[in-house]
Amino acid sequence: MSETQQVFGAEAQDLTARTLSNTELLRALLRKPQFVVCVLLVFAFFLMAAVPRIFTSVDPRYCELGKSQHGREPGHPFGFDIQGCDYFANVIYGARPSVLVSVVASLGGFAIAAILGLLAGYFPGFVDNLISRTADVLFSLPGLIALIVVLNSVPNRSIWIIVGVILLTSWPLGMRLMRSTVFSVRNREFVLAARSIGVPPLRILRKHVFPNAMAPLLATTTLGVGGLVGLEAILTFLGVGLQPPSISWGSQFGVAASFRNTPHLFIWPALFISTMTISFMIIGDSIRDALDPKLLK
Amino acid sequence: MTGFVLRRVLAAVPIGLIVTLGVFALVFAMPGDPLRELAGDKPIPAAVLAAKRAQFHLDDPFIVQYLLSMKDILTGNFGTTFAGADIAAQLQLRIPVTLKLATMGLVIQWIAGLLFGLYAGFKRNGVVDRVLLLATLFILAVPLLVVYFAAQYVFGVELKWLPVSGIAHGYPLSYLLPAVCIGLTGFAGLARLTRTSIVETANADFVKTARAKGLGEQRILWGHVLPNALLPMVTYMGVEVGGIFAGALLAESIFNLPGLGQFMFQAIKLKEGGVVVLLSTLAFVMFIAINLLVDIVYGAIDPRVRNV
Repeated sequence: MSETQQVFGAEAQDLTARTLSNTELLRALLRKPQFVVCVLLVFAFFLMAAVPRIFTSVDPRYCELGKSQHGREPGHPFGFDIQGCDYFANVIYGARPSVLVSVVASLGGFAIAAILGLLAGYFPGFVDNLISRTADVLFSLPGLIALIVVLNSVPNRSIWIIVGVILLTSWPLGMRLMRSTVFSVRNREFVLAARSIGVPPLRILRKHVFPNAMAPLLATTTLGVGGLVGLEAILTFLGVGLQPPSISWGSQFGVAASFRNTPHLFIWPALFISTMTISFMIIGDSIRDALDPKLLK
Repeated sequence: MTGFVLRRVLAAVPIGLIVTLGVFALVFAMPGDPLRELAGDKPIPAAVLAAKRAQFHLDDPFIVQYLLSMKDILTGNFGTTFAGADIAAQLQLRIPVTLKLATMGLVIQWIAGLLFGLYAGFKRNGVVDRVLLLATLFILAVPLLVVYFAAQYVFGVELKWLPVSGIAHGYPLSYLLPAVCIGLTGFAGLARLTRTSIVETANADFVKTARAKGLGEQRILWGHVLPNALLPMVTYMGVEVGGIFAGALLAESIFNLPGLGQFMFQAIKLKEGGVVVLLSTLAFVMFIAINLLVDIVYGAIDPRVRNV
């Protein structure tokens, strides 16, 4: 997850020159067919997460053991899983945790990284030291290991706990990015002007610094959404994510891993999860390209 | 130089203490009694339980337990796991497994990533560049789990070219598939970063000067562009090496390789605070050492950031 963000983050660093207005940005994005297609796909996944009933009328928890691991048949396009439940319905219902984790953790991560990055970048000294040293501590333990340790010490893991723990361990990367862009903005003329006429610091941060320093963080956050989908699956597969009876793509992988003779159990969730992450990735890539000052004429 | 290294090592000590203390506290806070769970359904005599608890200091206060495990780590007297396995022997068995897997994966990703990244960056907008950008976007977007499982299924189960899991086939055959998976996912990131870095440097004024004075393309690439484009690449490679432990954890648990990652995972599951802290310390020391190495390499390739 974080690797991807770092790569693209590094590619997105030079964004301080001039930022597009929102309508310009939207127009530039809508000109790209791949962006439009991916937005539609993501919208479909959101719909799947919100109201799975419009995609399938079958109850994912209604199972006939006699049909365990059967292939496809009319009315059941993806076949049946180990317990003989309809797999299509299960895969559709599995979208919810992935969408929830990725979207909530991205939004929350953006907010936390932005706020802490603003504070650390704008108030050097004690505040900066406190935030940056905390980040150092979190940074120095491999992310996945921290997640596993923390999640193991929580007895009842709901989706919100998983989101919370991801937020807790993942903010340092975005915070550092935000901090460095705030550094480059904090002494620009308009900030100095605002300070000289006595605008309170919080208002300066909100009205002047944040809008001019958020672009790189926004780009890396959108690029990271796809990675979070995969992270939820990894955690659930390792047994520290969602617990049964919740339906999720990660737990479907876990089951599929021990039943190698029925590849359809693996292929369908893999196809869905890959489509979703690729869509998020292309959306993020398009936004970053659109924000790239080198493309502005 | 020595002063710089010393300062960095000293600065790492408090962070290391906080990290290990935090990890130990989390393991300590896990619900359930590890020894009872290890015994499963069988009744365990009170005397045995008490003896075991005393052996692993489980009845001592939290901070005493932490200090005792730190003492064990620093004196190299690792003791045994709850199940009775000798930890030092376990490490001796497991470290080579993870090292082999990690080096193989890293070598694959460095060679492929640097070669393709260099070529694509220097011949920007060529066929290789376009194919690389598309392919790496795809590799980065497909979740790791899917890559691992798909590779295992296709090359292990269906085609039977490589072992599905375990290390029964020895080195290098058993390590090839997981290492290629680790290498492939890392390659995509490294290649993209290398390409961007080269492209940015290739537009710099000193490259135009070099070209204007009639230098050959090869000399421009190796003598002028590459040294100036190396910094972000070295950073990324350092981050990769530092994070290989976590990457190995996933690969080891999917391909069932008895390495450090798997050991860590089992120890967390069994609430073995001592082992978890030992392995976290190991990971932390590696992280600090690699970061230090990266900073020293920085100084070697770029005099502007040389640390004295």
